[in-house]
Amino acid sequence: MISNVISNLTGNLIIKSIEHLPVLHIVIPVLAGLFSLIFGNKSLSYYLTIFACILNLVLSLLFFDTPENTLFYQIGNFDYKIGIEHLANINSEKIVMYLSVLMLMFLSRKKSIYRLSENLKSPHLFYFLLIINYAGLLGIVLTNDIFNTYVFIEITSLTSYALSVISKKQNSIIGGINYLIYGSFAATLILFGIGILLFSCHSLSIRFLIENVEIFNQNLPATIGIIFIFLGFIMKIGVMPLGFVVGRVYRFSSSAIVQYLLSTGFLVNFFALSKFYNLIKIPYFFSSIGVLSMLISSYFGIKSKNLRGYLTYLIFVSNGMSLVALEIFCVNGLSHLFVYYIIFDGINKFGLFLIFSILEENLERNPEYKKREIEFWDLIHINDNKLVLIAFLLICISIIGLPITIGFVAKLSLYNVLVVNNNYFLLGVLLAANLASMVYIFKLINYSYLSIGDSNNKKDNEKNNVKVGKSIIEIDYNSMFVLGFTILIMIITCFYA
Amino acid sequence: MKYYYLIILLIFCLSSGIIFFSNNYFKKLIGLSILQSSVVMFYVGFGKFKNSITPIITSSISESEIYTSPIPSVLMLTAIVVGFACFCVGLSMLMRISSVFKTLDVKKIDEYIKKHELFLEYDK
Repeated sequence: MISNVISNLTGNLIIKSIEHLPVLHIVIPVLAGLFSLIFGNKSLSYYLTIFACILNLVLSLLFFDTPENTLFYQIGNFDYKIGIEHLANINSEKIVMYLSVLMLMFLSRKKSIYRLSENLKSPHLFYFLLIINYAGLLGIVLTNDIFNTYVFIEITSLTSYALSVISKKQNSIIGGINYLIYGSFAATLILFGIGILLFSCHSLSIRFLIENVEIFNQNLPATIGIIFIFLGFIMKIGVMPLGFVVGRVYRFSSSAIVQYLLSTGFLVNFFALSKFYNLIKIPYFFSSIGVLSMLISSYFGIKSKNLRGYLTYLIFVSNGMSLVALEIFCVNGLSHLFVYYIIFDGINKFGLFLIFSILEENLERNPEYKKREIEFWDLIHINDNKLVLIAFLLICISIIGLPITIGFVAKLSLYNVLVVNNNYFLLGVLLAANLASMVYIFKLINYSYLSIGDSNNKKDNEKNNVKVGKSIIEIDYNSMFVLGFTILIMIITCFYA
Repeated sequence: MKYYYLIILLIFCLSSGIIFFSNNYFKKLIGLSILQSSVVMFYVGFGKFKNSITPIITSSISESEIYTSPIPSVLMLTAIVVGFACFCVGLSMLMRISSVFKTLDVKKIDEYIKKHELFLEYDK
């Protein structure tokens, strides 16, 4: 009897949760943020953040269990043409799931996170910023209204500005203010584009615009509006030449924060771009910017003598490629493949900066290294721990796109679409860019693994006071778990794909 | 009405120039604020029609009257709040920069960072 009542209640709760799922995904983290602000306790805030992420993950899994593929949710029951509508579909739920898992992995490194939050006078505010940022990201993914997208972009941006300056280094504040000024400029471009779109289309509902896409495709002001929105997003994502904004953040901020911002913000912005690209398809717009970005970033990357700068340009090359992938997949109606592509790319970036973050934290704790920035020759300490070394090599191979890794699967699907469409020119350009990224990655592998016995490198190490053979990496259990889990995810997703 | 949009375009371009070419972080922030205001003016402008009146229903107004569209103005309420929040976060960052580097000049700060090998720690 009691079990029947409980199962009925649970069933009803699940049904109600699914009905309100698109908005629950956002409300849960916002409430968690509010409670963490009210209670003002560091540990409670930490566990509230974890709880919100787990709940969102469970809701996503429940959605996959239902027969419905698409769920529209009109806030206040207003008609979608005039009101705000949220949309949950398989693609958006995959992104929500990915974001939740990533957030949980980021939070699993408890010691590092605690150390970061200690930089604030009120450490619980760190978790408040983190969870609101997460809510904003989910909002961008789930909303089906253009102005609402802008609001969520600003919520995410405001918290990102604050997160990017949480570091022991004073320089991070310079990265933060640059991020704020140029990030807000990009957001204003998006707002201006939205204004032109509203002026010409009289609605900001993405569903309405898709239903009348033939009319708007021939509308010049609407195209101009969309171009402004695209430019704003490109500036925010970090695609050269407009990507210099985020470049300074990647150079100056704490590597743990960069790891989080890089693997989440990039992915969500690309997903939002794909939604807008389905409205008005401008031929060769993204592919030309993407190729330009790859060329410029490769040039500056090869010239860069600083490890952080080098990694930043490596990310820009990868972002350029994702931009090309966006156009190729969306033009051919393969948005689901693009979602996989950006998720795989996001995992690679998360893994790379996770290792970089572990290395940097260990070096900062070591008094011999404390007063300088991390350099190429410091990568030799990756050898100190076999798990870090294996993870590093696996991620490097995945970024290059060699078999059998998730990077290989992502790139293979992209090249496959290009071959099917006989677009051999772009295929050649992408293969050349892939070769360039091989050179990039080889330099990292060379410094970390291959050149231990190299006499030139020995001289370099002596000159820079690097003690080879002296282990400095003391990886804590949480970081080891996250690293191991990242490798596991890479392997599982690779076989699944 | 055409002049109105031209003025907005002029403000938009000038404030963008301030953001990109000014050598002072405070001026950049002010430029950003002006840029946001120009976009707000643009929105409010296209809500207005020829001979339209304020969108408030009173007993003295006939049904044939044309109202100004309230939607752009309503949307701008959110944008103004967001813009103000950004401006405040920016100002608080500038206060911190000013206390650490004793200047808001972009070139001087860059030189200072290079001189101190990009690695400074906050005073406890």
